[in-house]
Parts: sequence; structure tokens; C-alpha cells
Amino acid sequence: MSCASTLLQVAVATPLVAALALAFSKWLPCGAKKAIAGVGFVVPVLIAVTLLCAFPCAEKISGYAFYSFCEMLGVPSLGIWLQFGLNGISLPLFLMAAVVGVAAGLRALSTKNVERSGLYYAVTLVMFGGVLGVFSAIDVFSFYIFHEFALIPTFVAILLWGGYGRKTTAITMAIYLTLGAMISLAGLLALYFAGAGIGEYGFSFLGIAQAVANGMVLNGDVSVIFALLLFGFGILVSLFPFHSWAPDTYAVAPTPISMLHAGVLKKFGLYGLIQLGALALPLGLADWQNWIIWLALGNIVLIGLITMTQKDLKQMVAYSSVMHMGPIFLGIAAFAISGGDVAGLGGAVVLMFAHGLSVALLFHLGQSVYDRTGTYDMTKMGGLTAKVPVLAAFFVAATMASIGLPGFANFWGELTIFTSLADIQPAWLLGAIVLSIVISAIYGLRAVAKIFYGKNTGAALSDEAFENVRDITVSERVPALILFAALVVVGFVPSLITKNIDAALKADFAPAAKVFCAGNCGAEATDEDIIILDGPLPVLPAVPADNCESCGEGKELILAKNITVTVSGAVEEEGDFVLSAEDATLLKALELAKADSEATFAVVLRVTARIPVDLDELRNGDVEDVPLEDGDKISVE
Amino acid sequence: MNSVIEFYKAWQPGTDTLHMCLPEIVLGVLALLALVFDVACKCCGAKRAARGFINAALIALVICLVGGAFPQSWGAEPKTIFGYSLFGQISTPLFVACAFLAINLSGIVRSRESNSEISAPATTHLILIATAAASLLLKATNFVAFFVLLETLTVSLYALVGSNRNSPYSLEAGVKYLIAGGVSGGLMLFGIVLLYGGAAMAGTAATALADPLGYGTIASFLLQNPDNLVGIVGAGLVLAGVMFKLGVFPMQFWIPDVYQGAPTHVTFFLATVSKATGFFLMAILLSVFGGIWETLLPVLLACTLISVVYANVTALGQRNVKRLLGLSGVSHAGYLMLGLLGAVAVAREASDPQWIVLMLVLVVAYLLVYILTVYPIFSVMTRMPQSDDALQSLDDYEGLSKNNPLFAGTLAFALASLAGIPPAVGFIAKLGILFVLFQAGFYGTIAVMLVCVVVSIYYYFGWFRAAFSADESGKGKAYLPTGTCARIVLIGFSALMILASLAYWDVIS
Repeated sequence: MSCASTLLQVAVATPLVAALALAFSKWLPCGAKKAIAGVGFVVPVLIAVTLLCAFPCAEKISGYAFYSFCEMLGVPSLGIWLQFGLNGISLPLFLMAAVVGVAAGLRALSTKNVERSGLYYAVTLVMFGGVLGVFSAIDVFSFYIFHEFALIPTFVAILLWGGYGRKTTAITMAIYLTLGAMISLAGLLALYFAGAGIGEYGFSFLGIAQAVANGMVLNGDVSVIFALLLFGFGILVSLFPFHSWAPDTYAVAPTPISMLHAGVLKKFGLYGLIQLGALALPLGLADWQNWIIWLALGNIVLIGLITMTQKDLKQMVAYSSVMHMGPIFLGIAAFAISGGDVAGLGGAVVLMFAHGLSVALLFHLGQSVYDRTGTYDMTKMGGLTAKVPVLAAFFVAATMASIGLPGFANFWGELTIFTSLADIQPAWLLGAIVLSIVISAIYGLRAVAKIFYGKNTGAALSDEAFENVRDITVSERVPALILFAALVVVGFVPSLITKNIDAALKADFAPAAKVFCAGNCGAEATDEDIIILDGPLPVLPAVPADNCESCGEGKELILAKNITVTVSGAVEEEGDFVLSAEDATLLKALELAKADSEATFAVVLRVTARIPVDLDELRNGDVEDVPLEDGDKISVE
Repeated sequence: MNSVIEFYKAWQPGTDTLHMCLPEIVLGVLALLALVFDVACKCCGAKRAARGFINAALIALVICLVGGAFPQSWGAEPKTIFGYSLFGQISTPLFVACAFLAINLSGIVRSRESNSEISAPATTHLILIATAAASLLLKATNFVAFFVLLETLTVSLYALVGSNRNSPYSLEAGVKYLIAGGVSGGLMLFGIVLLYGGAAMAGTAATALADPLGYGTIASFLLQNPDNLVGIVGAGLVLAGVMFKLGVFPMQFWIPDVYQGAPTHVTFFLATVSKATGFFLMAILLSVFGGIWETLLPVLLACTLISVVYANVTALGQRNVKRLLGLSGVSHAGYLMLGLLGAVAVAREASDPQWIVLMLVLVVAYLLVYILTVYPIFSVMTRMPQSDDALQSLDDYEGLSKNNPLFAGTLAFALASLAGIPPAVGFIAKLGILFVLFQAGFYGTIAVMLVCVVVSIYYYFGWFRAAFSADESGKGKAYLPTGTCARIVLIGFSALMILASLAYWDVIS
């Protein structure tokens, strides 16, 4: 266990320890409470940034860096014990969680006149700790348990500090979210009992990734397991039509809770679908892809239309967060639609990162507007730019980010998702999906116009109250800046996170992707190419080979008719060679590379296997020639 | 004549039996001492000393039991009416601990004016007798002992339930319990007689004379004649009697009324010891009736599923806290039964003994967690300020979080654990049960259980919500004073809720 992995544990533990300290805080002065809470909020984000920088060079096990485990907490004989780690997919989400958490924390700390502030901070800290744990725990049951950490804090927060109608909303939310949690628990247990929990790393994302790479056989009905996960996580992520808990909850909950819940906690289900659903159950994904498409479309179009009619700012932001889940689900479904192309998954992760930041920013700024006008009703506001130009600027920027304007991180996510859906059937669906941008623009810009431009309607603020409105204070500016900066930095330099996502997706998802092209691939399917699962193989449209120019860097041509291999070592010409898939064999590659005739030994390295070959025997014909696959590396000695 | 003499000789307790019953004998002595103190101690100081002595004795007994000071050797052939059982080791200290807690709760309950009619030593005496009967019951290996001890337990409970002579609710509950218990006792006795007759008719004559009502005899009778109608009906009726104690459909109708009417410490005792006794008895009897498992399983499974659904749906409408707890207890008893049925189903098919033990341990752990969770709730309930125990409703809890954050916090942790929300230990316990059910392949049951968990969120969180909402009436409430010791205990239990979930698997292994 290295220093970095301890840091990861510290990052998760700090908010929880701070919350515990605050439990006994009745006797502490206000300043001390704020200090403890402040430490709890700020430490994780510092650690998260450090880990982001340390990630590329860190030692990785199957893509997971900063690995640490605690066998005491769990049942090792059953393959369940607490494990922490970050891979390319969870790292940006962990960072996003930390950033949103610090913003939410600063917002909580700067809220005036909060009753029982110690409990308020403690509740927010427990949620924050849970959220950090969700993305850093790679053991599946811990991942689930950390997510549930958030249920009681949300319930308590809504009851004690919520807005209008909080008693009903609190119970409704608790019941609905527990339903989602129980269904997904059933799915996780089903996955466990289908045999996914065996191996050195037990029932964890790491263990499952390794098992998939080695050709895991799941003995269970994959379609049913995936359905349980889809609908369970779907409820938790407000997939249409299971979304009705979300708008009320976010509108009624206090702002820091809304920021953490809408921004970060919802991504739990999507992250689970990527790491478990798409990775271990790709055929299940294929079976249910049509459901995902149409329900996500419901999110985009139907909820989008509802969002456009909202007059209450917080409700509008809440509905918009539900709407944005649509494209993310589609990005996940794109893995199946496009027949194994991981670009959609990458886009989904980037959009998750970006959406978390932008929706948190919108809630934060919305609260600032409320603090100044006393209402969330947009029809009663107007003309605020004259008094709060900086707040207006931030708000416009946040709206633009949420729409998907280039320059913000959301753009990269949405673009990638849309292009990965190029093969969606029927084709006009793509038009409906892209419509989401127009819908976001309509409600976003309309909100901006109503609140900040035009003239003060006088309904919320009388003219003299209007004169007294002050611009955004430092304590509100700092969280807004943090979120805004993260959005812009990743918007201009997306490779900060996309490089890691890409590497993880290419490495982990290659075997899963092979499922879709079994029969359609150029390469011969060998025994290692697994996937004996129940259910018929779906018939997917064939993807043309030269599809990859528009998809961003480094897309794997799994289905192309030509393959590329890399040869190095005792050869005259080292480097990449393109071979036609039908007769791509080791001898041919050595021929092209002009291998040294005295070379005796060669090794073929690929993601799923390592094949040593004695060249003398190969030339004599004593051993069979080795068929090559795309991406193979041949090392000759 | 000779055979009669021999028959009676066989029933003489040998030293083996006495050793086995040592803990219960101690409990019996303490019970009698409680009555003696009542007569002997006239002044307050002496009474307090007497109470202290009994408390100390009980704590010492628990320590001795857990520490193994009493001779234990199971696996030995039961020569007499008692034998050691796997569950005896866990259940006896558990019951004694519950008795200790119940006696302490009774002290608090009595301090409220309206409950002055409850006589302290009589309560202590009855609780201790009931505990002794319950723990001895689990060591019985003979249906006669089974019936006698079960009736001892039940009769003590009749008296306890009706012990608040001031309150019409308590008296009514006592009579209802008496009638319901009488009916179920009658059914059970009928079942035992049928089994006795069936065994004799089926011709297990040689053993029959030696031990006609022994578990072994009946078990072998059922094993050899799984289609014997008399045997099946007899076994079913006996199980119905046990289901009465556990609170499983169709014998759960008494629970809301009796739980509401009984004084709170008796409700606690019912919720813990009575339920635990029913559970362990069910486990023992399922192994005795192993021969007809295939016939029993569908019936028991159906009853339990109906029970769970009934309990959760009915609890939705409850405003009275004790009825709510009663019905929630029925649902938990249902989950326990489901876990037990699953564990037995797995045990019959699996060959790895460690795996079988794991399954059983997971189910028993659920019971322990349930008891652990229920005590803080009862502790808070006894300290609520309203005159009549039986009328405590959710509205009485409003403003709790402001007026008494300690109570509200404890209630929050305990309710979260009962509802099965992580990170409280109740979730891990439910996960254990789900694990067992998955292993046994009862998928439909799992679906029903999960739906019921979701339904139960409404009433648990409803209580939670009442505790955290503002006090509408505006006046402060006069909660009973809590000493530092009690505060520490409450905090300790709350902490245990969370910490236990971390340590759960270690303890299991």
C-alpha cells in the first residue's frame, strides 16, 4: 500500500470523521464547527487533484491505481471485502465528486441563519463522504453501501431545512429511492451468484474486469440480471418514467444537498451500469438497448418539454438535471448499438463529469438569486443584471455550459455521444436526440432572460429593495469559480481526463466488445474469446470499417477487415504493419518485418493472452502458424 | 406395575440433567428470592439493595454463560428429557440478557404514576420464571417437557401482560392473549397427541415404550412414514402452536392488541424472548419433522409470505407506536422464518458442513441484530411523556429532535437499522438473509421480501419524520429524567448499530 493509496482512504474518511466530530458539537463555538466542517470539505479535493496528477505514472493493477484493501471488513472466503482504487473511468468522477463537494460545503458554510448548524454540516459531510466512497470503492457491495450513506442525510436535511412541502417529499423520496436500491441490490446479488465473484480480487470491479479478460462464464440469465440493474439503477438515476421523485426532491432540499445529490449521487447508477452492465453483461445490454433508447428519449424530449414550462427556477434546474440523464443513458446504449464501439461510453463519462459540475453550479447560483429576490419564481424577477452583473455572467456561463457550448466540458461529452449513436435505428431518432440541445437552449436562455434582463417586474422586489440588491459576495464567488474553472479547464483541455478514460475503456472493454462482433469480426475467434451466456446473440447492423475519423482519438478498429500489428526486436524493420485479416499470421508478419533468420524466439502479446513461439519449430512446420489479431505486439529475439 | 415404576425411574433427574439445567435453576432461585425480598424488605433502601442484587446476579449469570462456566457437552446422547442443543448455547445468555433489560425497563415504566399498580417483585419474579422456562424449553428433547415448559412460559406471559391492573387496555390485552394462547395451546396439544398416536400406530413399538414422546421417536416415525396423514396433521398443528409464539400467519392476530395493551417492558419481553423462543423452537422442530419437509415447505413458505405482506400493509395505517412495533415485529419474524426455511433447504442439499453452519449463523445473527435494535427503541418509548402507555402515538414524538436530541438520534439509528438502510447493521443482517435465500433459490420470495422492505420504509421513516418535525402544540414535553448511565447505554447502542455492521462478518466467521 503506497502513500497514494493511503491518501485515497484519507480522502474518503476525512468528511466522515469530521461529521462524527460535529455530532458532539453542541458545546463548540460556531467558529470551531465551521473550521472542522471546512477541513472535512477541503481536504478531499486537494487529495483528488493530487491523485489526478499522480495517476498516469501510478502503478496499476488491470487499470486500477492506488489500490488498497481491508480484509477485515468483509468475508474473504465469499469474495467480498473492502477495496479501494481508481481507474480511468472512476478518476474523473471522483475528482468531480470532490469538486462539487467542496462547492456544496462552502455553500453550506456560508448559509446564514441555519438552525442547528452543527447537524447541518454533519449531514452534508456524511453525504460527501458517501459520495467519495462510491467512486473510490471498487468492491461492489461497498460501492452500493456508500451510495446508501446518502439516503438518511438527504431525508433528515429535507425534513429539517427543506422548503415547502418537505414532509411529504421526504417520505416519497425515501420510499422511491429505497425501491431503486432494493431492485439494484437484487441485481447485484444475482450477478454475484452468477459466478462473478471468484478470483483473486473477489467480487469487485477489478475482479470482474480480470475475469472478463480471461473469459468468464456467467451461469445465470444475463438478460434478467441486466434488467434488474438497469431498472434499479434507472430509478436511482431518474430514468423516465421513474423520475418523479427527482424534481420535488431537488426543489425542496437545501441547496448543498441538491448539489451533491443531483450532481454526484445520480451518477452512481450510470457508473454502475458502465462498470458492471456494459463490462460484464454486454449481451444483456444488447437485449435491453431498445428499452434504454426509448426511455432515454422520454427523458430528453418529454422531460425537456416539461422543463420548458417551469416557472420556478429550482424546479427548472431539477427537471433539467433529469433531462440530461437521457444522453448519458444513450451513450451507454451506444456500446451495443454501434456493435462494440466504446466511444459512447467515453462520452457518457465525460458528460457525467461535466453535468455534475454544471448542475451544481446552477443550483448554487439559483440559491444566490433566491437570497437576493426572496423567491424562485422567475416570472416575478427581472432586470437583475443592472445590480448583479457578475452573478449574471456566471449564470449565463453556467447555462451555456449546460446547453453544451464548446469551451465547456459538456460539449465534448455530448458530441462524442451523438457521433457514437450514428448507427441508431431508426435514423430519425438521432435528430430527436440532438433536439435536446435546442430544448436546453430554450429553457436556459429563457430563464436567463426572465431573471436578469428586461425590467424589474416589481412583484418580488419593490423598487427600493431592488436598489439595495448587492452583487455576489466572495463566499459565493469561490465555489462558483471552482466549478466554473473545472468546467472551462476540461472544456479546453479535455485530454486531462479523456486520456485516462480512453485507456481504461480500450483495455477493459475489448473483450466485452468482442461479444458484439462474434461472427462479424475479421479475426478468428479463439477459445479465449469467451462469452458463453444465455440468450441468443442479437443481430446487429454491420458497421462499415472506415467509421472512425469523426470519433475522436484512438478508436479501435475491431471490425475492420485489415488489422495492424506491431513488430519489434530482432527484425530489420520495426514498427506497425497492416495485414489483411484473412491471412494475418505470425509468419506473414515476420516476413513483412524482415525478421532476422537467426532469431529463435518470438512472443505474441495481446490483451487476453501471451503466446510464446519457438521460431525454429514454426519454420519447420512442427507447430501451427499463429493467427494474429488487431493490436498484437510481436517481440522477436 | 414394574413397567410403570421403570417409566417413572426413567424420569428421575440424574446429575447430568441437573448440570444441564444449572442456569435455569439459578434463574428459578433468583425468582424465588425476588418474592422473598418483597416480603422481607420494608424500607426503600433495602428494596433498592434487593433490586441491585438481582441485577448483579443476572449480569454475573450472563458472564458465566458466555464465558462457559457451565458444563457444556453436546453431541452426547440425550438419556433423559433434556439434552444440549446448538441453540441452547446462544439462547440462554440471550434470554437472560433480555430479562435483565426488561426488568430495568419495568423500573422506569413503574415510575410513571399511572403505572403504579404493577407490582415490582411480582414482575421480576414472573420475568425470571418465563426466562427460565424459555431457555429450558430449548434444551428439551421430549414433547412432554416441550409442552410443560411452553405452557409455563405462556402462563407467565398471561400474567405479565395483564399486570397493569389500572389500565383497561392491559387487562383486555391479557384476556385476549389468554384466549388466543389457550386456543393455540390446545391445537398444539392435539398435534402432540396425534403424533403420539401416529407413532404408536405406525409400530415403532420398541422405542415407543421407552420414550414415546421423545423427539427422536417422533422424528424417526415421520422419517419412515412421510405420507402418514396423522403424522402430517399432527406436525402441522404443533408448528401452528409455535407459529403463535413467533407471530406468523395465521396465528398473528393477537399481536397488535396485546403489544398495545401490555405495559411497555412486557411488550419488550414479548418482542424479544417470545419471538426468539418461537424461532429457535421452529428450528428445532423443523429438524425433528425433517421427514415430511417436502410437504411442510410449501405450506410454511406460503404462510410466511402472507404474514410478511399482511404485516407490512397493515402497519402502514398504524398511528399507535406499540401496535406499529408489533406489526413490524411480525414482518421481521417473517423474514426470520424465510431465512430459516432457506437455510434448512440449503442444509438438506449441501454437503459442506461449514457452509451449512454459515447459513444458520446468518439467520440467527439476524435475530440478534433485531433484538439489539429493538431495545433502544423501547428504552426511548418508556421515557416518553404521556400518561397511558397504551396510547402512545406518533404525534407524541413531534419535536423530539429539538427537545431531546439524544432520544431522537438513538431512535434514528435504531429505525434505520430496522428498516434495513446501510450503514446500519440491520442492512447487513438483511443482506445475510438475502444471501441465504439466493443460495436456496427462492427467487420469488426475495422479490416479495424486497417489496415489503420498501413498503416498510413508509412507517419507519414516518416515525423518524415525526421525531424530526416541529412540535405543533408549542409546549415543551416533560420526558422522564434519564440518568447518565442510561444516556451512556443509549449512546452505546447507537454506536453499536453502526460499528456492528463493520464487525459483522468477523463475528460471523
